Amino acid sequence: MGKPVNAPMAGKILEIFVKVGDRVKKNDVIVMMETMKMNVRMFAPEDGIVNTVNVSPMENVKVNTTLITLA
Amino acid sequence: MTSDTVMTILNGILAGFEALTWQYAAMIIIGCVLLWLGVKHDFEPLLLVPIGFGCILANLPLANMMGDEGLLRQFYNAGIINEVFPCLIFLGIGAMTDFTPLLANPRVLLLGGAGQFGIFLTLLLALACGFERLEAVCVGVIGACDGPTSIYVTSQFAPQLLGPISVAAYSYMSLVPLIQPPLMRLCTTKKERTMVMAYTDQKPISQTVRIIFPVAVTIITVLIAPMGAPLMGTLMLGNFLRECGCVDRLNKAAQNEICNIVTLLLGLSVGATMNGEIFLTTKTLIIFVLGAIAISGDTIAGIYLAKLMNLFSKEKINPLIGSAGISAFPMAARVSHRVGQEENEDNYLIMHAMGVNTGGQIGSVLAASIMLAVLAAMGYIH
Repeated sequence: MGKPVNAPMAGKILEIFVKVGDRVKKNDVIVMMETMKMNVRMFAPEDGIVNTVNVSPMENVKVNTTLITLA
Repeated sequence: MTSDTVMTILNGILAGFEALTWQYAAMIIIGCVLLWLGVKHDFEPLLLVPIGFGCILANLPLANMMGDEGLLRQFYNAGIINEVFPCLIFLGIGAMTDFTPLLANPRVLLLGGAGQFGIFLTLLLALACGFERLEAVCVGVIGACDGPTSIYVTSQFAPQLLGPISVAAYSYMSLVPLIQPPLMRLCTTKKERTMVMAYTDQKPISQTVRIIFPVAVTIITVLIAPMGAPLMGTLMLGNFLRECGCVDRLNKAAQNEICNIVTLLLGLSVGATMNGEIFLTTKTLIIFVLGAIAISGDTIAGIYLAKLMNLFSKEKINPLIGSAGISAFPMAARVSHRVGQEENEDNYLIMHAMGVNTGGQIGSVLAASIMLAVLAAMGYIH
């Protein structure tokens, strides 16, 4: 299953910078969201490999939606 | 062609240059600087571009754009002198503002109130600097960090200061991302700045609440401060158009066509008031200094109120969102978020800061309205 990276707030997914299998380091930008007309960057909470990508660009997400999981 | 005819033609062509005094030239340069700030540096271009161009047009000698029959005078009379333009801008702002973050966490409205501290601080300083009472009120309103409110109040009570005050208000709004961060770091500890505020406990806001909100705010605030009815009424009418869901065309018109046209005419008219004889005085310099103090005071007051609230509340607030209590929307909220995330990547303050920022919108209009109500009660205005 892996460690989930959840949306900290509601918004729209603008861009996803990783794909399944990518290796990420802590604080790498993984997703760009739009909230309140502002582009907000989401960072990887720890080192890991992207296990799943659960959202797609232009998708509206609620708070705590799992965006990606890290293995 | 005789030499006299040639001289007459030359005199006619050069008459404008002959009439160009140093004050006109200085104001044309200031107009160009405003254009440069808007175009090159993206400082509030929607306002500074028409203000800068209006300033240039009004200071071209013999063009008489601000004479009794001049084009800019017609714009000024049509919308500034009777305060119609600032109110129409507020209609657009209301339609563009989402008050949901404020409704989800209503206690942050208090921070929107603290963000108006600079108004009262600057009012006292302006009085100490020798401004007349009504002029001091207008200078103080720069502390609302709210262009339309500054224009509304100044055009009523000190129209001779409309140019410097509105340019100061809009300049400082655009400088919020530069002025606030150093003060925010100075007034908070590293531990406070890294404090994470979650969103999980917030309840969703129903459409019914979002519809009732603008009506309730209008009734309550106008009963408290009736003189603010034009500003608060149009701000909340715009928000009602947005939230009621049945007048989409009016909502879009308020957000786009009305707001865009009025922004252009308002900017041109304000720029046209930038007359060299009034603008190029030490008073203008003092107004700019007081404006900087006003916005710094707002920022510091908001941060310290947030710290004070933390002493009494179980649910802690990151004090950085206190600085968003000014009316500069949405820049102040973005600054809170940015400074918070620079300290801690897991810190997403934007929605909380937006709640404070929209509270600041209401706070600035209410503070100006209360100030007018007090002046009316004291017999200084009618």
